[in-house]
Amino acid sequence: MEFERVVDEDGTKHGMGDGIILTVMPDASDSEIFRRNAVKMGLDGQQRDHITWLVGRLNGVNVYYMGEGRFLMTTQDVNP
Amino acid sequence: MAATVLIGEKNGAGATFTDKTSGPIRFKNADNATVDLANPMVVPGAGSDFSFEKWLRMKIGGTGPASQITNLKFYTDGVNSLGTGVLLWAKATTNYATPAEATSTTGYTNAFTYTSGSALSLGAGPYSTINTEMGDHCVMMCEVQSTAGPGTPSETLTFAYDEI
Repeated sequence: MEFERVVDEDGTKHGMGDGIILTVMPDASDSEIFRRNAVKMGLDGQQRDHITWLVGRLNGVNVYYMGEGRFLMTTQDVNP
Repeated sequence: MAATVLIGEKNGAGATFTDKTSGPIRFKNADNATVDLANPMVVPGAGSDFSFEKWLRMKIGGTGPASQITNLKFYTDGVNSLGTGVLLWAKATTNYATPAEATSTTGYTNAFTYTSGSALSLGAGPYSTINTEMGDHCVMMCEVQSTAGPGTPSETLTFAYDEI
């Protein structure tokens, strides 16, 4: 999935793509929107998968958008 | 536009970088990135046959991030599917050294202990320069024990990073 990241003048951050918009307000010192990528590669070269999640972070709480309408909200650091 | 991130294998005294993002990686008894049947690992009558080290590293390609790349990680699915007597070892190393044949597992960790929930950190970053390698090397080697069978088993490795 491709996501676009936009930052407003007031620091509000938006992640857009796959038909969703994830917005993080700048009301904490730890607020961010980023893409988490995982490249899965087979030693035999037969398998390759590039997974991208959209992640919003606010004060240590992460919201992961994994695609197909699935969101995960947690304080854990989760990888694809 | 998302950054281009390559995963490459480095070989020789010159640290030649070969893009392996979409290609196979062959553990063997030689220092090269060639995928062939030369210098194969052998099932020993006793003890272990250790491969040459594989020095893998992430690199920003021709398209860089809008801001930065951080939080480089390596992990597996946590399950060794290489077969009986075939082990995979890994460690993070900052400075490159010409790949050598491993002689023991000292300094390494079972690669399958690195999972999505407990990954091997390859560098916090930030990184942003195009056409530049980033973070630590993921140094891996394969051990074939006397109990192994023949074949060319495979596994899936995961390299992860965050991008802003």
